[in-house]
Amino acid sequence: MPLQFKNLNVKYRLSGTEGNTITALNNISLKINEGECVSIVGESGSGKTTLALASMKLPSQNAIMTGSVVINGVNTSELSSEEMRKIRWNEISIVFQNYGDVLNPVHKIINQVAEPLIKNGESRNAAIDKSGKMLDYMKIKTGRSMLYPHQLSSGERQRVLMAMALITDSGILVLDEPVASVDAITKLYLAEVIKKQINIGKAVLLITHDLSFAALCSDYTVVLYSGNILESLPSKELLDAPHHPYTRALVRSFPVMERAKDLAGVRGAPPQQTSTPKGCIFQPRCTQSIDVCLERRPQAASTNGGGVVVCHRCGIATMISVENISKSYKDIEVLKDVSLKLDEGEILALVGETGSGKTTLTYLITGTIKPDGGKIIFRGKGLDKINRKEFAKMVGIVYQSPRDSISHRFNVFEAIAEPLVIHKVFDGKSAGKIRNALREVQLPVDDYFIRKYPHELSGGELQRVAIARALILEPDLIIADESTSFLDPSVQAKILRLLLNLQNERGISMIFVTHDIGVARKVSDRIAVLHDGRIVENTPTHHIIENPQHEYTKKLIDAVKSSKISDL
Amino acid sequence: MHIRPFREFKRNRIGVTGLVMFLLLSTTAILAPLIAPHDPWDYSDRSFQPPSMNHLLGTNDIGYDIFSELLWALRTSVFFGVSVAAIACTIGLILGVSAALVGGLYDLVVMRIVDALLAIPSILVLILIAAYFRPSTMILVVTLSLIIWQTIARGVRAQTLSLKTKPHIKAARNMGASTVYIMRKHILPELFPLCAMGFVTKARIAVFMEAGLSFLGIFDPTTKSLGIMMSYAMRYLYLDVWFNWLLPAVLSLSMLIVSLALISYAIEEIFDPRLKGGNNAATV
Repeated sequence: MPLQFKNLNVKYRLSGTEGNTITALNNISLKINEGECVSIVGESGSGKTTLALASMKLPSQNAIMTGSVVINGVNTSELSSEEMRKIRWNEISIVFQNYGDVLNPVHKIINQVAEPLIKNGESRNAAIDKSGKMLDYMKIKTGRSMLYPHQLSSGERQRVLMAMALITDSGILVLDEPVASVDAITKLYLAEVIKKQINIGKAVLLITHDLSFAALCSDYTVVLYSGNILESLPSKELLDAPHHPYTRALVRSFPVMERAKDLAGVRGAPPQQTSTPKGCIFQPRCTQSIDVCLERRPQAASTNGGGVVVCHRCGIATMISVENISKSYKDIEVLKDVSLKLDEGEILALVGETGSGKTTLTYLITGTIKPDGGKIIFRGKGLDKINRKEFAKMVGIVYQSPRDSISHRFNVFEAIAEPLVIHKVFDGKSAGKIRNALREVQLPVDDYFIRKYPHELSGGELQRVAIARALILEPDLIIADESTSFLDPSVQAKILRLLLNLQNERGISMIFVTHDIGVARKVSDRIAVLHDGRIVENTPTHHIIENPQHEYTKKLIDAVKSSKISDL
Repeated sequence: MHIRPFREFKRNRIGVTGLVMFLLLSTTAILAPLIAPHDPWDYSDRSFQPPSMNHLLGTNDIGYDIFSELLWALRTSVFFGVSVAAIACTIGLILGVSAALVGGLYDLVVMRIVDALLAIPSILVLILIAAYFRPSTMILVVTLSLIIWQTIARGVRAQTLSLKTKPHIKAARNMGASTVYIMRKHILPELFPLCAMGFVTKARIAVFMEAGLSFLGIFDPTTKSLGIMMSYAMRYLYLDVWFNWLLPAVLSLSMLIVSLALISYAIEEIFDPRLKGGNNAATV
């Protein structure tokens, strides 16, 4: 076992005060085998670099380290600094994060790269020779190896750092953000270099915030949040099938070429690490927290993909699962054996031409009509066993036409207050709540506006009122049934942005019903294509757009893309 | 479309005229016991007195004061019209809305009753009942209400059925609203114009029927009624008493019916803007 972390804890003393610490790493246990690459991902401040420094036993002065780092069977916490120095660069080498002052500004880079070899007793000439070759290998142009660090670009400096780590040919490589400052082509080259190192049997700890790079290079990915491991999973699943809500949020924040959906950051801000909460550390930002998340720390549980997830709900939970639903109106079979899942905090687009059964499916999900066969499970409970009124509180619906879905007898205030009145929660605070809701959907809150009637508002304004109405009870699920198809492109764009922002901020799930796969592609995590009452395709959005499997989906995408009418 | 009925009504000259007429007549009727100078059931002077200060419209064949009789007769008409309209509207509204909302067998039964009642000529039924049983005014009110609610029920049901599928009502249902809430907030306000129309129309029919029946003499003869007054006045036409006996009764009845007709005309115009006169009409 080349590199192993056993219950590693790192705390930083805060200056000036005794006993006042912040936790940088909390009980980290991790193993990296020969010929294996494990990547660590997470937001900045999650403890990634602390882990890298701890692996080299190079913690900063105010750090308190407990637990152990085992390198090739030797527990480094028992080693003296002299013994540790022998191990560094020979058994374990590191690529430091590429800041301006990592390299010594008064030495030529070729000398700096050769330095570990010289310290190990190699002759100066041989070392310089090797160093030059290594820099060549790292594609530093001949001649530039004689320059000083400040004369290089940051991409070149990054490769110099890489060359330093590789030159001693140590069995363990720790790479801290090796591709943060390089262009895509260099990145690909570095990925090749790293892959080669893995293939010759090195153990690599790759620290990065570049998820696609992690997926490309590593075998396993460990997700670090505020010093805690939240999930570890095979890297090939990272981008498509993350299990933890945090991992999913990270993936959503990360720009991937084929993804058209707007980026959304992880909602909320990382926690203050000065105190440890009683419950799950991710709870304040989680989209699916339940009571127990506030009370206890979750335990690690293994997932079916071969990973581990630290979550009370065993990873992203299913909110609604539709199982083999069928529905007919008299003789017309509208839905045939439809199965569908909606995860907590997920945006699912239901796409299909008019008459394909989209609306019927949403009616079934909201419980407005009953299915002929099959069942619908909402949070583990059959929909028919849930109190209609309670269920209605959890689901907000935004309809196609705001003109029809808001009574012409209600003014803006009354329209938004309606759900509160229905659920008998309208009280003194409600007026403020309604104004907040209006603010959230970017509408004016003055008295003149809230007394306006629907016919005095534009379609875009009215749809915002409808959205405010759908959100006033703070639902967990939003169903947008062709909510933007009546609006002109500019207003549609604004409403879509608004819906997505609200979805992200509140962490709610969303079913987005549309006939426009172009719109679906911009908003959804997953698309389910309905055709003739069947779901013909149901995969992550970028897969469906890049590589549609079903003939009908291909047709649908071609129809949207095509700018020419075929000759008849 | 959003219509503010009261504001619109205020702007409608025909409607305001009708309403003012109706209010005047009904106020006079309500105040009859106070303003009638004589007891209309008692002999007050010699018979066939011409109009004078004491007897504004003179006296009739048995010496009753015609003016006092007229006030009390108007009271009967207004009471009859308003009560019949109120009861018929209530029945029609309840049965129509419930038939639309409940549907199924109940709807079927209610609508067949409506069909049956539509086929029966109500005036004939009323004549037969009144002639055979000689019932009191109250019973007659109820009887008439029971056979003329059907058109209201039919209209209300149709309107409710169309309202039921309106997205804003579906939206309210999906918000978890109870049937009572939807009725109160979404359906009844929309049914108001229909009910108002029905009310006025039924009141008109009732006023006319009461006068007709009593004219034919198949009404409680002790009740003061415009019909009875006309019927008696007709017998003494040769005495040239038509201008102080027959004419006031005919005019009162006509004014009452016309006022109701004007109101219903105005309501119809407000809620169906296509009927609006002027330049708008040409563009439709």
